[in-house]
Parts: sequence; C-alpha cells; structure tokens
Amino acid sequence: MKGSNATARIAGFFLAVMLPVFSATQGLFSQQLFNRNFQPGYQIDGNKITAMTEDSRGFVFLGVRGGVYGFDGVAYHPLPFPDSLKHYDVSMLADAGQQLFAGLSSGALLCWTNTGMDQLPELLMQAGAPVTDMVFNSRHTWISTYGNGIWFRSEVDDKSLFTKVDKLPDESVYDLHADDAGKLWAATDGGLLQISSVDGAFEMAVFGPTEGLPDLLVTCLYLDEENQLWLGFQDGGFCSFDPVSHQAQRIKAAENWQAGRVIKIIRLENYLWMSTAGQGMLAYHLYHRQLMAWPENETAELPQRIFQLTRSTLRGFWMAGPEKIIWTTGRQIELHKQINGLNSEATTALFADSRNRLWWSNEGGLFVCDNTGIELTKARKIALGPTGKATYASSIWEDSKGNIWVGTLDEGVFMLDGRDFSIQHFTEKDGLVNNNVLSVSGKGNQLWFATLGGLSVAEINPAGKLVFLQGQAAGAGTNYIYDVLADHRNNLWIATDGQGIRKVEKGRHVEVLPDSLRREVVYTLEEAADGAIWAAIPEKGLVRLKNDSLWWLRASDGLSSTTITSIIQTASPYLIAVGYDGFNLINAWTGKVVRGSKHYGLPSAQSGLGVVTNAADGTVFIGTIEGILRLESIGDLANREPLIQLRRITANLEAIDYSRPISLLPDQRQVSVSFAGLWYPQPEQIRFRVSLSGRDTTTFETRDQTLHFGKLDAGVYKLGIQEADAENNGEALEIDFTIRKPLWQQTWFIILFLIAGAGLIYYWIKAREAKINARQRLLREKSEFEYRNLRSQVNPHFLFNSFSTLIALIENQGNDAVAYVEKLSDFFRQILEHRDDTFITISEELQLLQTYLFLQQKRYGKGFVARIELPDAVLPTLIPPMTLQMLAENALKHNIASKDNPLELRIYFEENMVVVSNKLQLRSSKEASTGLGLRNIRERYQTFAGLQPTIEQTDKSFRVLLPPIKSH
Amino acid sequence: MIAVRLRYFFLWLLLLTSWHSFGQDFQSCVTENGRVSFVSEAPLEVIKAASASLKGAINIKQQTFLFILENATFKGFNSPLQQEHFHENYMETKRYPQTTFKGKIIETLEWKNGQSQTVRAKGILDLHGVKQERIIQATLVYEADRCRLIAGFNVLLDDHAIRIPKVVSKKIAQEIRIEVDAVMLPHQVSPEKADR
Repeated sequence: MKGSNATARIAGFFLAVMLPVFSATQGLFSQQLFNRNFQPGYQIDGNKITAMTEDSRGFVFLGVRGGVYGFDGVAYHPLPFPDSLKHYDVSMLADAGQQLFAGLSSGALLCWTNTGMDQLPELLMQAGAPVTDMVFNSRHTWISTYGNGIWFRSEVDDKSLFTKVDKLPDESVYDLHADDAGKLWAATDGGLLQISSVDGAFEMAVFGPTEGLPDLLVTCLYLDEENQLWLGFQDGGFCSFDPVSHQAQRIKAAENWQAGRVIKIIRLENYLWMSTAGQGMLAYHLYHRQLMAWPENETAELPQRIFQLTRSTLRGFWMAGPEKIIWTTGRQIELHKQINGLNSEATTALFADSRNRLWWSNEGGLFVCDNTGIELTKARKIALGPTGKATYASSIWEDSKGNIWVGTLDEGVFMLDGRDFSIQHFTEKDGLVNNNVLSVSGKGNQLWFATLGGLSVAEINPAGKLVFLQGQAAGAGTNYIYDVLADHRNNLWIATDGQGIRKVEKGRHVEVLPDSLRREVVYTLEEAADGAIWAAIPEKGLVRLKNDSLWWLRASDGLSSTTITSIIQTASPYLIAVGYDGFNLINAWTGKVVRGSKHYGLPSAQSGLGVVTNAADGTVFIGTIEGILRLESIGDLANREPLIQLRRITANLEAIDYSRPISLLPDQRQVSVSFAGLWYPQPEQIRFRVSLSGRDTTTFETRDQTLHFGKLDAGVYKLGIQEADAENNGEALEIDFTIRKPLWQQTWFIILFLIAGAGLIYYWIKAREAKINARQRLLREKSEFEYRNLRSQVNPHFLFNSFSTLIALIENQGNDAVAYVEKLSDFFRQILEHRDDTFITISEELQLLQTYLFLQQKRYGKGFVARIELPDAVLPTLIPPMTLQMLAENALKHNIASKDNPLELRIYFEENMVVVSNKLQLRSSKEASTGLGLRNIRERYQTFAGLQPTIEQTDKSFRVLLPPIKSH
Repeated sequence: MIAVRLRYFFLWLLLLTSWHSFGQDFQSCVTENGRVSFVSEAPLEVIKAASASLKGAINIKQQTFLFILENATFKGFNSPLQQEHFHENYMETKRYPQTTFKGKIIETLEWKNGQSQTVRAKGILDLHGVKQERIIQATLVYEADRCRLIAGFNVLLDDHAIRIPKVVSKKIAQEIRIEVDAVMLPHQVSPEKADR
C-alpha cells in the first residue's frame, strides 16, 4: 500500500469512525429503558385501564369501566359489551384459547366465545364481589373474588354451573394459581391457601406466619418454570415457597420491607419483577440476590400504579397501569448514557475485565466501574500519564496477569496494574513502532500492538518487564494494521489495510488468505466458537473463513450495515457485529441475523473499533454514540420475532371459517385476508412481504394488515405473509385456499354436456327425419288420394252406372237427362276446384255432396235415402274436401241399397260433432277395400287440424264422428 | 341522613355493648376528639387541613372498629376560599357529610402497658360516597388507662371519584396523605353521646 491513497483511506476511516466521538452532543444523562409505551388515551372510552391480559396468540385485551378492548400494538378494537353492565369496572380478564373471560367489579363473569368476538358475551355467573383472578386446569375452572371467596366449575362433569367453595378461611382472595396436579393455590388476606381435590371433596391447608411466611396477608403469587412459588405480601415483601415440601424461604433482600404491598409478582429469566404500592417496580436478581429499583433512575414513563404484570409471548412482559400499558424486555437491553454521573456516550473503547470491572473511554478520558452483574457502580476516572495529555483510549485489553493495556492515538500504550492501577507508559522511545495504536491484543507473554506504523510485537520477560521485539512482525506486509487475533491454535491473524488477512503460523510461515481477499481492507477479526475466523470487510460485509472455505454475510442477508467495526463471539452460537448502523446478532450456525437497532427502536450503535465486550456473567456491553448498551439473555433477543396472526378471511364480504381447509365457490373471487403483525417493540415499523402463488401470482410489500384480492381466477392458491425484514428467516403465516371452478368449467360437466348435446342433436335429426318422412308420406298419400279421386272420376263403374242412368233418363224423361249431365259435369268441376285445398267449408262440401247424392239418387231411387240435418252454425266450419262425399261413396260401396232394403245415410250434428251414419247392411259380395279412404280422412284431420275423427261400428250401424274445424 | 346516623348508632351500640356487659374488664376503647390531618402536596400548592373531631371505637375482644369523621370539622386551610372549595367542590360535604372507616383488625390485639403494637385494619373506607376496601397500618401505643392510635395512609382522589379540574391539577395532588393521631380511652361513654 503506497502513498496518498492509503493515507486518504486511513483518514476516511477516522473521519467516519472517530469524528462522531467529538461531535456527539451531550444528551440527557439518564438511563434509557428499552420499552414500549402505549397510551390508549382517547382511543378507548373511559380511558382508565382496570384489567389487562395477553392471550395465547399474542393479542392484548384491555378492560376499562364498562368495556373491553382488543389491542394488537396498533389499534384498539372494542368488544361488544352488555349495556346493563356499563357502569362496572372490568376487574379481571382471562384467556382460555377460544374464550375470553371478563370479571367485573360487580362480580359478574362474562365470556366471549367465538374467535371473532363480535357477539355479545354470555353472562356466566354473579360472584357477588369484585372478580380478581381466574385460572384453569384440566379439571376445574376457578374464580377468585375479593370478598366472596373462590368459585369453581368442573370441566369434567357439568360445564355450566359455578359453585362457591365452602368454608374458606378467608373470603378476600387476590390471586390464584392452579397446577396440573389438581391443586389450587390462592393468595388471601388469611394466608396462602392450598385447595386440593381429593375424591371429589376439597381439602384445604393454610400457610401463614406460623409456617414461616413473613406476613399473613398474601397479595399475589407466581409459579415459575422451576416449580417455585413466589409470594408477595401486604407488608412483608416477598418470599419463595416450595409447593411440594411446603417450606417457605425468606429472602434477605426483603427484610425490613419498605415498599408496601406487592401488587403483582412474575419471573422472567433471572429476575423477579414486582410492582409495589410504595416504590413502583422492583427487580430481584435471583442469582446475585440483589433487589433493585427499576428503572434505576426514576422516570416519568412508568405508570403511578402498576396493577398487572403479564408475561408476553414475544418474550417480554407487560406492565399495566390505569393510563398506559408498557411492553418491556425488562433489563434485556439498557442504554447507559452515564454511569454514576460519568458520561458514557460516544465510547471509543470498551472492555470488561476478569475482575468484573467495565472499562470505557471517550473524549472525557478513561473510566472504570464495577459490574456487580445487576448494576454498574463505583465509576471513577483514571488519569492517564502524569501530563494528562492522553485523553482517550482507542483500545483496552487485559493480559493473562490481569494488567490492563490501553492503546491511544498519538500517545502510545499505557499499562495499568490490575489491582492498584499504577501506570506504565510505552511509546516509540521504548520500541513501539508507532504511537498511534488501534488495537492491543496478545497471548501468554506476547503482546501485539496494531498501529498505524505496522504491527509491533512485545514480550513480558521473566522479570516482568516489557521488551519490544525489533522491527515488524515477519510478513505483516503493510504499515497499516487494524486488528490482530491469536486463535486457539496459536496462529496469528492480522487485519490489514488493503492486503487482506494475513495468517502467521508457528511464528514464521506466512499465508495471505485467501486469494479473493488479497486486496481487501479488513477492520476487525474474531474467532467463533467453532474455530472459524470472522472478518469484517468495510462496505462488503462479513466473511467467515474455515478450512479454506469462504462464506459471506452481506446486507442482503439482513446485516444492518456492510461496514462492521467490531465483532465478538458471545453465548454460543451468537456473534455480535457492531456497525455503522446498529448492532447485529448473528446466529453462526444458521446465518440468521437479527438487527438490533431498527428492530427495537434503538439508536444507531456505531462508535469505534472494538467497542463490544463480553462480561463474565454473559452480559454484553456495546459502546454507541448515545451511551453504553447493556444486553442480557442474548438468545432471547435473537429469537424474538414478530408474530403474524390471522384475524379474519372473507370472500365476497362473507366470513370464512379458516379452521378447516378453505374451498371457495366459483363466484367467491373477492378474497380479503385480515391479519395482525404483533411486534410490540416497534409496532409501526413492521412491514409484510405478501406472496400469493397459484393461478394468479403476485408478491409485494405492504404495511396494510388487510389484503384484498379481487377477481381471482379459479384455482389452488397459497398465500404467504411474512415480516419483510425477516426475509427467508422469519416464520410465515401460510394460508391455502382453493377457488372451485364454475360448473361449466368442470370436466365431468363438459363431458356430460357434450353427451347431452350430441344426444339432442341426434334426437333433433331423428325428429326432423321422421317429420320429413311423415310429410313425404302425406304428400304421397295426398297424391295417391288425388290419383284415386281422379281415378274415381273415371271409375268405369261410376261412369257406366252414370251412363246407364243417363240412358234411362234420356229414354224416359228427356228433361231430367239434361239436368243429370249438368250435375255430373258440375260434380267433376267441383272435384277439380277443391283438389288443391286443405280445407273447405262444410257448406261447400255439402254442395259437392248434394251433387254426388243427386247423381246416385237417380241411380238408386228409393233404395238410397240421404238425410242431411246440419244446423246453420256448423256450415262455416271447415272440413277436408271430399270427406263427406267419400263417406257417402263408402256407404254405397259396402252396403246393400235396394227398394226393399233401402240404405239410409244420415248426416247430422250431435255432441259437437258432425256425424255421418248409415245402417249396416253389408253386401255379400264385397268390393275390394283398400281402407285407404278412412285412413286418409283420419290422417288429414290429424296432420292439418290436430284432431281425431272417431269411427264407431256396431252390428247395425256404422258411424263416423268428425270434429268440426274452426276457421281462423 | 337520619337513616345513616341510625345505622352507625346501632353499630356503635354493638361495639360498646361488650364493654357494658363485661364491666371493668375493658373490652372497648373510644375516642371523641381524635386528630385527622391531610396534606396535598402538588407542584404549585401545598394544602393542609386538620380536624380534631374524629370519633371512633375499637372493640378489643371482637377486634372490630368504627371511625367516623364529620367532614365539616376540617379547619386550617390556607384561605377561607380554599376551605369553601374543599367543602363545596371536592368533598361535597353537604351531600356526603361523613367519612367512615369500619372493619376488623387483622392482628390480635395484645394490650401490654408501655408497649406499642403495629396492627393492620382491614375495612371499608367510605369517603365521598365511594366505598373502598382498604388495609391500613396503624400503631397502637398502650398505657394503663389509654391507648394512642397513630396511623398514616394515602388516598387517591381517583379511587373516590373526586374529580379535579385540569385547570387546578397543578394545585391539588392526586394522592392525599392522611395522618391520624387519636387517644382512645377505655371510658364508659353513653351511646347517645358518642353519636352526637
């Protein structure tokens, strides 16, 4: 690395890293809590909160006078509440999975059942005194009241009725706990009460001062994960109680209790949290056995009276007061702007030593304080050097003998005796390569100073004196060294400016690792628990080196900033990387990154090189512009992530039951999904990545907690909702649903439809064919009839008979013959006239018939009598032409017509029918009958009028009944 | 109001009867001129007042007690106007003339001359018409012929539905400190007199 380029880079580094140190403003010198304050204020009616609970899904419910509100970190949703109970306080809220219970100050117990909670609650009972608590175990539901004892309901036999527990030693009960062994523990004004159910009856035991409790009035209780019961008292502070051996264990820190009533007690991690009537929140560290006011400095943020402490599913707890509720991680993240009055902002170096002391430095100088594990005390300033010229440290480190080494910019190195802080000063005069020291580290008797002049190596000789080895360490290769690390195999790793990472094995062999990093700037190095080396490459991210393999972690993997200035291995598998924009918790096994600042609403963390340190008790300290961050329970911090909970799915505005697989109707194409992203630390920060895959596919990011999908096509869908930051890592809410195809798109329907269509077409063709056939036959018959008629016109018998008749007429009566010929020609003319008509009127037909009858009359004389008796009304109705003529002809054809036995033909109207009737006197010699005549009549009636003539034949008569056809 | 007084009269009778029946073996002790003072320490104003008319009785055998204070007897305000506001706006003395506290003493009373005992009285504090279940700690200093009762407790105005207008919220504290100091005498008092 040559010339101005490198110098410029170094200058840039100092500008970026160190400048904020000098420009940092002096903020409020108070300890800041990490917590989240919710003040419902005007958003809830009668805005005094009287009860609070978080349900199993992470939703919060708040009780006020005459109302209950659901809360998800963003909005307050009122639950329906009976008007008649509006003027009572909700004194208790309890969640039981699908049910939410509310106890009122009047003693009423309400229950909302369905998941939507949009129905009025059911009034389950009246306990007669303010309801204080409600607990459930597999056998019973228990309710406590302040003034009217304990009530229970069996969950096994009868689920409806609550019964009061008889003969309680005291009726004033504050708090309950039901264990799975069937025992109930109750905090009462008459002591700690244990109720166990034996053979259906209750057995009671009371524990008070005679059993070792510090006070008779037990005001709260809590059973922790280690099956220890913690009790809070009216005046006696708190103590633990073994629920099996019934041994009370007094707590030394609770002697001479001055904080008044313990209102609630819970345990979270290593702390017991107590809200007290006299001194607000108190925290008791179970292993350090120290009681502390919390927060240390009185702040206005906590409510005056905290009546409820509730564990949260997001690994924190709630404090509820009348005006606000606060979600907090307790002491998991704390920001110390000052320690015992000494400024701890804009830290340039930070180190926790083996004697439980915390060292820090900023422009105010070098400071040290004692870290008791729960608090930082006895902070004092350490003057560096007799001149006091050196103001602040760039690096602090402790050697194996407990000496503290302090590297400075421009002032060389100071060594402080671990016990008496006596100071030795080493500069270039003593052999240090350069007075600008960026980091100090070492192993055994060796010490390495990374300086702007290169790496300086020193040894503490047996006499205890520091001897600088001449020259630079072999192969350091550059004048600019940011960090030196000795791994567990005693290999030395060197972070260079522009020449990558150098590894010195066994003091000599030098490797430049790896090729791809040959030209990189490396700010800092750390060995992880698995022996991998992590290196920070500015503007690129972090790289993990193990067995020649490289693994990058970049901004796209969730890293807050690509420029990381400090890395530390903390509780395995977690690494903490501090960069320009917050700190990152990295799970070294999975690569999952949790961003400190953004996720928790913390200030930016960047401060300098080496500003993160592990204390012996597992707490981590990080130097930031705004103060020193103290982190506890790293695992909890890393595993906390937003909960995404489904609220409601609607299709076409209709609620859908999502407890079963969702299958929507074809017209339910407007799908709305409403959900909640529960993230109480920073509810307004949360964004969601929504991905819909299936027939329609879409991916987008949103802050909305209600998604609308309009006009979805039928198909199978998968909807995934995930917190946007948690990309690839966070738990996603997944909803599968199917929109069924409409009937006409379903395969079976299409096949059926085709079959039916084919059938229809086939039938239609068939019908058409039949119709055509019928018409053809009719036409054929018609022509046949015409032919027959024509033929009959030239029927030789008819003609011969007519001519014989004519001859007889000419011989006898000349005049009649003329008339006869006229009638004959008339008859043929009429036949020709009506040949093409479908119907003619009956009067026309009668004319034709008369002509015919005249002709036949002349022939048969008295042997044939025709009587036509039709009323005038029938005459205009229609009839197929030649019908009556043909019937008359048929009658003459088949019957005997003689003087002795005359044939009588009658045509008359009867029962709305035209009847053609003749006496039946069949000829012995039958003329061949084709039967065509009658069939022809019948079919012409059927085809052209849709009517059916009736033919009646008895022994004596032959009748044809013709229905009259109305003319249109 | 008569009804209220009558009710307390019967309670009074009940508390004292045992003393009457057991004669010299004193079972009850009473006070008629106990001192009650309150302090409201608000950022802009400190309000103090006191009454020397606390009436009360403790039935030692039954461990029961009753204390009655006529609110009108509070005196010593900073100004007559303040006194007027106190009675008319906040305490509503005409509507709620009395403040009472009655209940049971949790610890067993042990009268030993020259000794003191800290006890807790659990009962219902009826102030401004709002009843609150309270547990109040008190010290009893026993002498041969009397016992002195000293107690101090806080009352949240909100708990008793005493509303403070926003305008004067800086002048009246939300939490009022109340001190009680009364000499109780095992002296026969006619019930009528006690209920005067």
